Amino acid sequence: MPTSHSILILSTRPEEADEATRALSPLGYAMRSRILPSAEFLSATGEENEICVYLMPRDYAISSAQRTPPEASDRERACLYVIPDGSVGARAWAFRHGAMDVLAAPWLPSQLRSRIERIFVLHQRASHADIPEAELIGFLKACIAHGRKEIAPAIDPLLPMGHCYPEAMAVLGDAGSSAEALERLADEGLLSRSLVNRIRLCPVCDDHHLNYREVCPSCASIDIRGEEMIHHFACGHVNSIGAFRQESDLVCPKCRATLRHIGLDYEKPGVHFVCAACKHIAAEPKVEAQCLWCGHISDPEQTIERPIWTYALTPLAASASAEGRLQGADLSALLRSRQTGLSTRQFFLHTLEREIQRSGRYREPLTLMLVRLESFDHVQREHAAHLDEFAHSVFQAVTRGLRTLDLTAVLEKDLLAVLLPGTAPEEARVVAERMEKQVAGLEHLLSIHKPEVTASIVGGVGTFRGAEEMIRAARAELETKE
Amino acid sequence: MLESLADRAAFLAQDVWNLFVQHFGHREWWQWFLFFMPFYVFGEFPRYVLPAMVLGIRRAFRLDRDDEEAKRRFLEERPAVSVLLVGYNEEASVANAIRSLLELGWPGIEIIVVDDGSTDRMYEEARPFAEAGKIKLFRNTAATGRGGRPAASNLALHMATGRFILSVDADTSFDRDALEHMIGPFYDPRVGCVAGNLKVRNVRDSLWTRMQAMEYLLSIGLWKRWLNLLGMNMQASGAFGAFRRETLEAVGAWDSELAEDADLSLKIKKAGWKIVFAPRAIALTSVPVSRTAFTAQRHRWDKGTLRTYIHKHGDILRFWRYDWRNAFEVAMTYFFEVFMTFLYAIWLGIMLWNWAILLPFIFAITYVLYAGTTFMMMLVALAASERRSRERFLLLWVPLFAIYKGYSRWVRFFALTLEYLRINYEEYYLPASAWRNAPKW
Repeated sequence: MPTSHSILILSTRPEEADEATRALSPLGYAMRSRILPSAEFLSATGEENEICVYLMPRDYAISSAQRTPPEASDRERACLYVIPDGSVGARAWAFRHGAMDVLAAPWLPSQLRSRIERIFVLHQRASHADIPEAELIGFLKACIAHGRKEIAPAIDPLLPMGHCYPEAMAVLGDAGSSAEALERLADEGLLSRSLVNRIRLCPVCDDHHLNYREVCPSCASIDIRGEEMIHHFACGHVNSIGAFRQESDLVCPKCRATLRHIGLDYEKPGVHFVCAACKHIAAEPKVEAQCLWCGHISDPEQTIERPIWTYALTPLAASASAEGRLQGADLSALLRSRQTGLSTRQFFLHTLEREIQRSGRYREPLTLMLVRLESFDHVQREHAAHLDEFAHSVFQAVTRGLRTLDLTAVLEKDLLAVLLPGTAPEEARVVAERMEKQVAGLEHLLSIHKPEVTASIVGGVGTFRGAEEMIRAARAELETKE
Repeated sequence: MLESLADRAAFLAQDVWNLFVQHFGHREWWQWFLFFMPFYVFGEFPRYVLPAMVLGIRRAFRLDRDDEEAKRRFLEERPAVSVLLVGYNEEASVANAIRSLLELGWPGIEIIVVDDGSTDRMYEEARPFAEAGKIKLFRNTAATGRGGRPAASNLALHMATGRFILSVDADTSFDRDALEHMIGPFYDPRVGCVAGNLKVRNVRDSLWTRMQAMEYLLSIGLWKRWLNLLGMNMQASGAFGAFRRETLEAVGAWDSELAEDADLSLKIKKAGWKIVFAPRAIALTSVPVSRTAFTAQRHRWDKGTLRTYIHKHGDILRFWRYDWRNAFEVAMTYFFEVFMTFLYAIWLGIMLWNWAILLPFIFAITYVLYAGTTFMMMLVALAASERRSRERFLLLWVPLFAIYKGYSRWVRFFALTLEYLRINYEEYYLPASAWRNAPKW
């Protein structure tokens, strides 16, 4: 656990602050407390890397606090709210006001400690602390030494994602950090991914504790129940079974006939749902996802889908481990990315530099095209499991029809660079139009997201002095197209 | 050669003329009556021509009126409307019908689609709309299979929450303002049901569809307008009819009948509600393209009409108990649709036996009169139609309409005969479960 973190306890009463301090002291963190009046209570914040514990007084009026708009900085605070009651409304209020976690009073010391530990995990994940390359190499070495070819996830319901990688955690730290490290290694081509699970997370707190429940489509009441319907053959009347019941008999409310035999007198065409609150009748109930962590209620489509992978070491991992560095592990990997099948960024920049020099010297035209994948972030966030398929298809469409001489590389996660030696910008525009049409024609991706690219073109004969200048100019033109 | 042929033709014409003069020169009045029995002159002339003339005059002098102010105030409330779209094996048309309903733009419109146990992909076609929250979709999953159109409509009604109910077919699509015109007449609290103006969508598909388009234009666009004036509208089509919810509940909604829309309309009339026609509420429907399909549909309709109007609801003729106008219109319907159909067949037999040679003259004269009045009625119907520019070409097909009506009359003759003789009583339209249990009329 990083030692730079400390805990600030905020309270309106000294005895409550002392109680919390005593409960947290076994964790061994540095701690301090502040006693404030109720009015200033929520606006107080701690130092950077300080976990704030807000011990809210029992008489704290959450309804009046709701009117206080949360500040932007609240969202980034690593803080625990200890609220007077654990109702869904109070929890939702706390999360809306920036709580990273919530504990309802009365609490036990062990509960408080486990919440604080969880916040440390979440906070570290949120801070995106990069794991040093040496640790990643160390992890690969450990895997190879133990003959471990796969890093499989284990289920841990207490973690926000519900999964962790115990082998990776032993070397790389907590669940969040190790999962990020594994993703980075996979991005570098040192690990391959195979899908083992898919989970859905709350769009507010990124937690997997979702309760899917059926509610009334009209008033959202959960007091909705399925009821069979009856169709009386003789008069064609259709109604709920309850409308036909008369003590133990079934009597048609329309023609007063007694229904004796299913299949002969009557039939049950199906089940419909009746809301006890508003009496609304629906063919199907609405389904909503209630987050049991933060209380947020969302449509199932709004929840965030996350893939859970099993990672396997690729041949590149052995060479990276032997060479002691993640990139440039072999010569082919230096020129061409195994993951994308395109040129590596380094090779591309090197070639671009050479071509600029050649263009200036031999007076030959040269064009650089930057191609931005629109909505890449959205696909990454909402359809992570299909990201590879999406990106790979778009890459193929972009490079289809290019000459052998042309070079394509991933400049950033959503930005491709295409180098077209011997091509004037006007000619490149035809290429760009064709490219946009090819991408737009990828109909099989529409179920994920509409594929779309925007291209900028810069070039000429000896116009630019270096790669950096040329890329900067292309970026500037791309920005004008936003 | 030519002279010889011309001479022969002249002799033949002279012979025929002599025969005609001999036969008609000294006949009694009842024989004249008998010769001109094709009931056009004695029955259909006042029945159809008079309304055409009156409506033409009313239109020319802009006498058509409605309480627009009361209607406007009523529509401002935007009352809740539920649309019931029920079908069986309608995979080809259900999505189009739903899209058309969604275009109606009525706030809070509730669209209930019931798949009556289809064996095709109807449910799957409608499902995306349900998943998007645009419709309520229900599938009949009963072990005994489909329940029939009336039961499916009742099921949809059970789900419905609207104050007004619009019943539509899966192969029907609607003008964007159709719902407003359908619901508008309910400003009058005595109105329990509104009949929409159905037109033919696939009018250019075949000769049969053109004929049916003309028939719809005359029998709905013209005839129902006329009945509106007299307060004698008797029926709203199941393909496009609107109902007040309390009316439906009061009469027990749809019964398991072959012509369940006619049955429901008559129950509504007997309960004392008004049925009105909304000419500006326009919906398009697909009609049978082939002769076989047309014959099968008319066969079912004709049987259903007799069964419902006379056998089940014959007591509506008690004018002292129900509105005399109901009794009059049903009596007229019976006279022209049933009595005259049989009388025509008998007459034809007598004529063939005794004076067969006169029949060509009688048919020729009848045809000319029929075609002429059809043309005149079509002009009036087109003048009143909102789609006259697209329907004008139908005038070219007027000469064939009399022949089409003649064919329809024979279809009716056989359907009614079978119905009276209880042959093929159980039509496929309703499932066996309904036939086993429903009362026989």
